[in-house]
Amino acid sequence: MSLARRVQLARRVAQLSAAGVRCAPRFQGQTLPGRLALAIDPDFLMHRRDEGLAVRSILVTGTNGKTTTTALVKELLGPNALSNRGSNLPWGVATVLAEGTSRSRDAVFEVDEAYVPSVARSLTPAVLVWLNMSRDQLDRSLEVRRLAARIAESATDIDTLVANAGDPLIVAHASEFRRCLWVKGPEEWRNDALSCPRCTSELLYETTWRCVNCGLHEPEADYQVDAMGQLSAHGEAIALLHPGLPGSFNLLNASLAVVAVAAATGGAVEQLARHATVTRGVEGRFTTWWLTGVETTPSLTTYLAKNPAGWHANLAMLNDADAELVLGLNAKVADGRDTSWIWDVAFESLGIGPVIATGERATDLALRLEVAGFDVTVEASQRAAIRLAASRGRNRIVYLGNYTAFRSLIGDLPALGAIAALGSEVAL
Amino acid sequence: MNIKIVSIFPDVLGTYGDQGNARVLEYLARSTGATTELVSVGINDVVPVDGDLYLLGGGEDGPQALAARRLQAGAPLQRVVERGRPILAICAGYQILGRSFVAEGKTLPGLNILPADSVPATRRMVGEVLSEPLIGIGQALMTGFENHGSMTVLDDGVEPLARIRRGSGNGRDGYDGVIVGSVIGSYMHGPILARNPGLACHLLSCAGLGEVQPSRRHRQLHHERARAQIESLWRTVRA
Repeated sequence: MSLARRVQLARRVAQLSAAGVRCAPRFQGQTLPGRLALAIDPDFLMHRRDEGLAVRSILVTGTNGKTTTTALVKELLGPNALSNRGSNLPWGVATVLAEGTSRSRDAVFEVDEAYVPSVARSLTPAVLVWLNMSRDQLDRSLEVRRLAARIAESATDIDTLVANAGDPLIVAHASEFRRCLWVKGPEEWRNDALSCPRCTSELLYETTWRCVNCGLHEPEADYQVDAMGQLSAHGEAIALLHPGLPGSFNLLNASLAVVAVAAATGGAVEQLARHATVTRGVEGRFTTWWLTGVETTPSLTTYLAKNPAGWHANLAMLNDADAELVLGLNAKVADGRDTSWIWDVAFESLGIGPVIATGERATDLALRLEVAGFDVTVEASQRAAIRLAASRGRNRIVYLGNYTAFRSLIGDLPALGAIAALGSEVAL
Repeated sequence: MNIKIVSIFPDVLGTYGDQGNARVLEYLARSTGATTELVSVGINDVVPVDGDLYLLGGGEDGPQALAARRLQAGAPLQRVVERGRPILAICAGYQILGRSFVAEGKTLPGLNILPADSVPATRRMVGEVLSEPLIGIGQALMTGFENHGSMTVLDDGVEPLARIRRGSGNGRDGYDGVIVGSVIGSYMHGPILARNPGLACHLLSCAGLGEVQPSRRHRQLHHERARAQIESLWRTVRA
């Protein structure tokens, strides 16, 4: 079979299977067509270029915030832009490319950290957005330092790196990139980067960070965003960000999205910054629901966080919420099998109150919370946990869960009569 | 009674949640009416030698090498051993206490507190561990989660901590960890003292606290994890 025929066959099979799985669970619909296309043509991602269907692409990677930042970039690129939603392995990207129409000229893909070099080699993207590096699922990923080195292997395939200046693990591996735009955010999780990623000496954190031994230091930020959302370029205020999502980490994500789109399209950062808004949450993240199937019609806001850095950032934001707290923990392969990391989440710094632990590993979480001083109730069934929280009188519920716990709760929402709340931009 | 718990370099040996061990010990000690002082020694700080109980956790290669260098200066842990105070060392921390270990491809000297050498294994050992403790801690079974690329070879006659029923532990001898005087080493995260209340109480007794009773939830977690491991082991045997 000729190469052109094989590419076309791969695309046709992927498109047909996409039509076939449309009635199947959504997640499979995002991966199966791409798996088939890549099985027929392992270089499927690469050949779009040869067919005159090349897209100008932005890749988004890092431990936390990939899906959210990708959603922000897509908002900025417009409705015709191609984008994956959470399915961030090569077959997820292939699925989107197989289905893409010839009108699609721009694309943004979130990419799992380990697959950045191979996806970049195939797509030669205009921009790589590198959000942060912290530990996640140590049982199945490389340790975080080795993963950072892996991402840096993509340097020669990328025009511009847009990255977080506050993250030493990123900076230590950025020297190979042709062009770097550095963005600095309001605050950082730094427990994973206390020794220098280059020479293992200690890092000093003042207003910027530096290594006391080898001289690795925070690069001068091209853009900076403060906790109020004020975006500055080289110290000069240029725009106010309204990402429509809570948390200072989302201000950094929005800034990175804006700078990335400006770099890829030649647009003006000031103009783009006004439009970097996600209004309805992202795949259920940061979304508020009204539970019409529960007698008191409580509200429920759902948060997803997968690792200590993510839990830390989300809990800091939830601290003042006048709401019943439900925390969900699973330990499936997609979550990481080891739950030890919950002991690194600083629950002690939260206001101590009643909390409901749920999910498959509710007991692990409950002991952690008991030791932190919380009054904990265990309810293994997540649906029952939400109903229990609703019975406690405040009628506002905040749920934070890790990956598969969160997804299974979102799956349970119809049974609770959940309707996405309208008219509220920011949940908390 | 006041118990001073010293956590060694949680800023660099804190990758695998082992600080949980300090939190569990504090919680248990306080439940007996004792007061506690938790000293988290940073990588640039001086290690106090007057503590009642010492903890080391797991970390990545680079940070592990840094921690070993720091602990060689002034040999604070050797003095702790001379005083007979308990030390619990997990994973990278366990390897550091031996004669030698390997980080980033280089063989480095350890603190020579444990008669053991750690060497790279052919594959990384990752997963749940089920073991039978060889010391009396009021538990027939221990559980934990291991994640390491080196195995540890104990000298002949040195007592391991537990016999492995599932998982790898030290990697070759069918056992996990070591017990030499007041020093206990293990590959088990989880953290080990959250999963194994008996070991936590044993350490506090060694530190001078007498009889300690774990909470109902603490025992529940041990039971739940042990049962899950036994069931999973039986499924493997049947299949």
